[in-house]
Amino acid sequence: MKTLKLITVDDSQVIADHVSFLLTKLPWIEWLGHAYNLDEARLLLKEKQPSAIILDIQMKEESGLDFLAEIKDTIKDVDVIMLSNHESEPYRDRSRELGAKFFLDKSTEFESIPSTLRIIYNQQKMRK
Amino acid sequence: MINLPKLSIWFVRRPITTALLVLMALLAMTYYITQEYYQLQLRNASREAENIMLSAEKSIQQTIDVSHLVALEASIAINDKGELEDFDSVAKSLIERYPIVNTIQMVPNGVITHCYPMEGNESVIGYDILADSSVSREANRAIERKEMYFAGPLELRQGGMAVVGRIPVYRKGEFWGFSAVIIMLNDLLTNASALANDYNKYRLDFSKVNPNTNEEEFFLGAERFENETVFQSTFLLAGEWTIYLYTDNTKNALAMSIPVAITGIFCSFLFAIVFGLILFKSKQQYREVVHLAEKKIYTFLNRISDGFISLDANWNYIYANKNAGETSGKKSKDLVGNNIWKLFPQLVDQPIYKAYHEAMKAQEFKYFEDYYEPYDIHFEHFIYPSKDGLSVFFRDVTEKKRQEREIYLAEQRLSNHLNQSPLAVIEWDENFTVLKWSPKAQEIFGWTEKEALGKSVEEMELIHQEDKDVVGEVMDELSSRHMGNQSLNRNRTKDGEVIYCQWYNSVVKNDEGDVILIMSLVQNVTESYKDKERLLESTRLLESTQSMADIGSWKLDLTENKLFWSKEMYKIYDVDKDFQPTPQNVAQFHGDTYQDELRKIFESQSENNHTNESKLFTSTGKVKWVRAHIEKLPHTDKIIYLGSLQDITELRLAEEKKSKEQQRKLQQQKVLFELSKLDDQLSFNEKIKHALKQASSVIDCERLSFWILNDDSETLKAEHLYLKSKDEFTQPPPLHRADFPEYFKSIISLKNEGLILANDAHTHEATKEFSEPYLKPNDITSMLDVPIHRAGKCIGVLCHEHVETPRTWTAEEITFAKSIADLVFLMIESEYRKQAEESIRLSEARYRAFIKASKTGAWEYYIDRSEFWCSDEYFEMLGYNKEDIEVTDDVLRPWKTLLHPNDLKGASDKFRAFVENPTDTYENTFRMQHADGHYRWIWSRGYYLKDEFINKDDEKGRVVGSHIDITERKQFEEELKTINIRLRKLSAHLQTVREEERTHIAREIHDELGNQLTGLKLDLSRFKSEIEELESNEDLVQKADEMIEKVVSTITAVRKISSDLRPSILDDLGLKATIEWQAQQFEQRSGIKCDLQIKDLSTKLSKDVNTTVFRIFQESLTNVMRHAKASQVSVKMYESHDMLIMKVTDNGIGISDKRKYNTSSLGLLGMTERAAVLNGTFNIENDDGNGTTATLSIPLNSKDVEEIRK
Repeated sequence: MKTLKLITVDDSQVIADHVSFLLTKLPWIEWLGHAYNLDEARLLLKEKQPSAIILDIQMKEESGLDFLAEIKDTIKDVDVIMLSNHESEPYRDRSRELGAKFFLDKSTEFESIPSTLRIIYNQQKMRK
Repeated sequence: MINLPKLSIWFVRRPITTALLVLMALLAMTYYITQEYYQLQLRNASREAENIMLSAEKSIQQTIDVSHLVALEASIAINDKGELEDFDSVAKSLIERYPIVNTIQMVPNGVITHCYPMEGNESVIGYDILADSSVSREANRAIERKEMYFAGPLELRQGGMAVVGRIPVYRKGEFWGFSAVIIMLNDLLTNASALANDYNKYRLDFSKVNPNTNEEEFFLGAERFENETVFQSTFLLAGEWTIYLYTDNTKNALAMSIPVAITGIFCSFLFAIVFGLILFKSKQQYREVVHLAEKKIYTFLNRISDGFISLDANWNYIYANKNAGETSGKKSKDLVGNNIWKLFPQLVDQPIYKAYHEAMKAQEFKYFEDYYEPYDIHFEHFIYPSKDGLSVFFRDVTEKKRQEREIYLAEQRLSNHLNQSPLAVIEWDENFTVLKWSPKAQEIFGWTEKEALGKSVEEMELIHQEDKDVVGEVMDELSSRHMGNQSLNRNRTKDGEVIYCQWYNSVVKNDEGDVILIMSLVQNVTESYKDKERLLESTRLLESTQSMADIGSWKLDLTENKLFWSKEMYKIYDVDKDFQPTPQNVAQFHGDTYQDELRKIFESQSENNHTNESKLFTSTGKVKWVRAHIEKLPHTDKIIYLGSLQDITELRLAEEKKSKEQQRKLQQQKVLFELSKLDDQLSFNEKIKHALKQASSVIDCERLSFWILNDDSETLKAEHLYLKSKDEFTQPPPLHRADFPEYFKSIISLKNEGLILANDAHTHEATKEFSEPYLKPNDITSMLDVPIHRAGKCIGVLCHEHVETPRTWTAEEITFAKSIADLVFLMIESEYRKQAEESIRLSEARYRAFIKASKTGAWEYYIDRSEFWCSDEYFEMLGYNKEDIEVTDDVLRPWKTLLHPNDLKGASDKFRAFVENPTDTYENTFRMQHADGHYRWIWSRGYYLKDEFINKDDEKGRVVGSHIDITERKQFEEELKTINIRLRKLSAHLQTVREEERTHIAREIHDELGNQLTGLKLDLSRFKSEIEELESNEDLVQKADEMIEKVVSTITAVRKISSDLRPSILDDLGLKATIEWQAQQFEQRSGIKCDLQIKDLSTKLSKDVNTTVFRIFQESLTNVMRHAKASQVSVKMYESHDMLIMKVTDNGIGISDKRKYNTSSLGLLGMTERAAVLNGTFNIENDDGNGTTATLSIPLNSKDVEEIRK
């Protein structure tokens, strides 16, 4: 395994742009696409079969937490990083409960995305 | 038995005073009711005003929230460089979404540069608000506060009154300018006052202290009410406005209470008058009680064996006892009310008619004896006249008369008919036919008794032919002139032998002087001529016969002044044989009357014989009654009188005694009668005293007393003791059973007819224990105690105590004593009855009056008898007359007929259930049809009663109840309920709208703004890293760092605003997580420890429940922080029986009652209202100063909740 297969899910164009900017700089990441809503995300998940997802919580009327539960019910070996503006403890706790690997605050921990992905990449490499 | 207190009688006797007292009491009651009604109205008005105020506040708050959001969103159009991008499209979309916002302005550095919509607002572009002192102050306030502040209301340059909300916008840490929204004042206030305008008695005003003049200015200036109450609420943060709510007092509680007061006063007067009239009537009805007492007395009089009648002044019977009726041959009740002379016309012109009229005319007691031929009866009458009529005792004395006559005749026969005599005795009738023929007569005349009886003198040819003339004269004297005489003549025997006979003839008459028979004593003196010895013998025999009959005979020869006495005479005069009687010395024995009569006889020389009765005084001083017979001896030249004297003392004494007894008996009856007719106005004590005094005089007893035995039969208390010699009443100390056990035992065990007859009280079994302590000190010798019984129980004793000499009580006295005891019993009974009657009458009157005055329908239902009674008002209140209602076999039908069809089953089932198993009270509410066709709400209340007097043990008793028309109250309640539901719906709607807005805004700013800011921050970071690579750009790097920091802090602020508006956790993570998070935040913020216990909470709570519970939880914590001074809060949350329960308990100072009941405290009211929308309850309790517990309970999955929300 040379790359980390990744999809990103966020309804915000601004965030999507920045994520894109960040990820394209990382050669070991194989960014498979970005979804602006959960339907797109489901499609991506099915078609691209990523091993990692960066997932927003609040997307218009949809909740990333619901999607997290959905993923964890169907696919086991996907690592999920929650990236959200809802930084408070209950969200972190719930995400952890539902099986998210990491939880990043959009505004303060955005820069930690590469290092976090790296950890996941390394872990997945170890597992293989 | 009910003892009517004296006080009640006092009231009955003073109707006017009582009516006035009742009036005062009722006026006081009216005052109280009006006061209560007024307070109720006041509370309702206050609650209504508060609801309106709340709605206004909520509306304004909503507008403020929207303004805040719009201004905030508009400021997004400002880019990093402080320039506006795309302002028009942003503003346009905002105004479309929030039409309440009239205009959006951008005011960089205080100069209005952008405006949307621009139309009509061109004039304001370029206007510097910070330069204008009239505006700058309020604009600066927004800067000071760093949050939205509303200026105005002010006159817009572009026209119209409006408020301007400004938020200061900062870019790169510096003040950039304002983002402002303009809201037309009309829009703001129309929404706020929508509810107030629904009523026409409120107006809303809006004021603000002019920052320049410091004067309060009003903006609506609605017309003031003449008299008004003000509620106010101040919005300090948003714009320092004050909302005023004015209530029109002319439509207020006081005005609505006045009709109640007037009605109350009117009713009070009406009732008092009616009550007074009823009492006045009662007073007159006193006479009925008197009648009752009389009836009892008459019952007693029926027991008197003699006839008794009472007649009024018009000769109508008022009363006749049983005997009187029997005597007249009719029933006594048929007599009453009829005129005696019409009923018995045969009495008119009889002596009785005259006697009654005379007694009436003279008004004096009259005694009268009468023989009533049609019935062959003798009557004696005791006539007591009074102004109102006559009372007559009468009795049949026929038997007595007959006996008297027979006795008299027997006596005469005894004295004259000398069967033992040697003389022949012959009795003749007036025609000289033989009635009796003695054996001696047979001896003399030869005719046997059998032959002689019925034969006349002529038939037997007894008279010698030659003596016929002389004898004829003698016979004529006897038969025509009724004179006794003597003759000596020749007679013939049966065999025709001629003999000489001495005849003593006398005439026997009855009381009326009619001749009954002629008696002859015959002596054959034929032999005496030859044999004087035999004559003498005969004379001696005559004397001895006379002696045997106590008859003395004498012969007075006035010519020679000689007096001869038979032997018997000496005995009568108690003189010895040596006494020489002369006409003169005999006079000493007789009274003057006798002497005078003798003299008259002698002077008149009458040949008639005379009989009289008189007293004589014997030589030994004895008084004797004698009957004297005198007659002149005919056929002689001398004046010779023959006489006989009979000692009739014993006979006379017996008669006198009988007469005295008769008199005493009469007196007794008179006393009994008088006592029985005592004036009813007399008090019980006066009556008793009267009875004792009268009885004492009749029975001749020194000490007469009446004692009452108390209920436990332990003590005898003397009511009165009459001392005859002193004519005074005293009261000896009470006697106790412990001291005189035998006496008590005796009177208690005595049955109805028993009494204690102690001729010698010292030895009598029952009374000997009184001997030392009581009898001797009072010198009492004999006692006669009559117990008085009531319902088989001894209640008192009538005591006769005779002093000094021992006395034997006669049967007659005992009977009299019993009669007096009966009379006393009647007095007691009458007293009891009087009190009971009075009490019943009074309570009945009071009951009627209350029903009438209170305008409620009264009813009574007798369960066992299925009887139903109702007052007139029962139907009158429904517009019917009681007479109009048809009475049928089903007693409850009138009620059921008028019941509303929908209430028929429920109401009648409820009544039946109560009747089948009656308990204390019955209550029912139903509709009944009024005569006008409308249905009225009736509140029926009843009490279950069981009176031992009316209902027997096995009976169920009755239900007594009332009907009250509560239609108006019911309508009022319904209206209030409708208003409350409307208010609640509105409130719920406002809450929901507000909550949805908040959710929406919170999401928008959190997500949109958050993402934008994040992007900004990332851009800055990229920018920073780019410039870092260049040299000598340290200033720029530092600047970039600062900017990043500011963006981060902005993000934090935005997140806080969003979370404050509505935490997204609630929608995303549910109630439990939110509560936990909120509690944690609270701990951090306030330093108060928060202990959470959340159990078994369903995850599928609806959004409404979530919101409500969370908001109330939030508010509760805020209250704890602000007021409780607590160090710890404990929160319990659980589900129980489909209810969600939350308890927030602190350990603080406890809520003050003032705060708890302060209805203007919107916090608590808001929480209660929020809970009520979901059909839940919220209440807050003070834990005895050890803190406060707020409890919320909300039903889950309830259909009602859904309904209310619709």
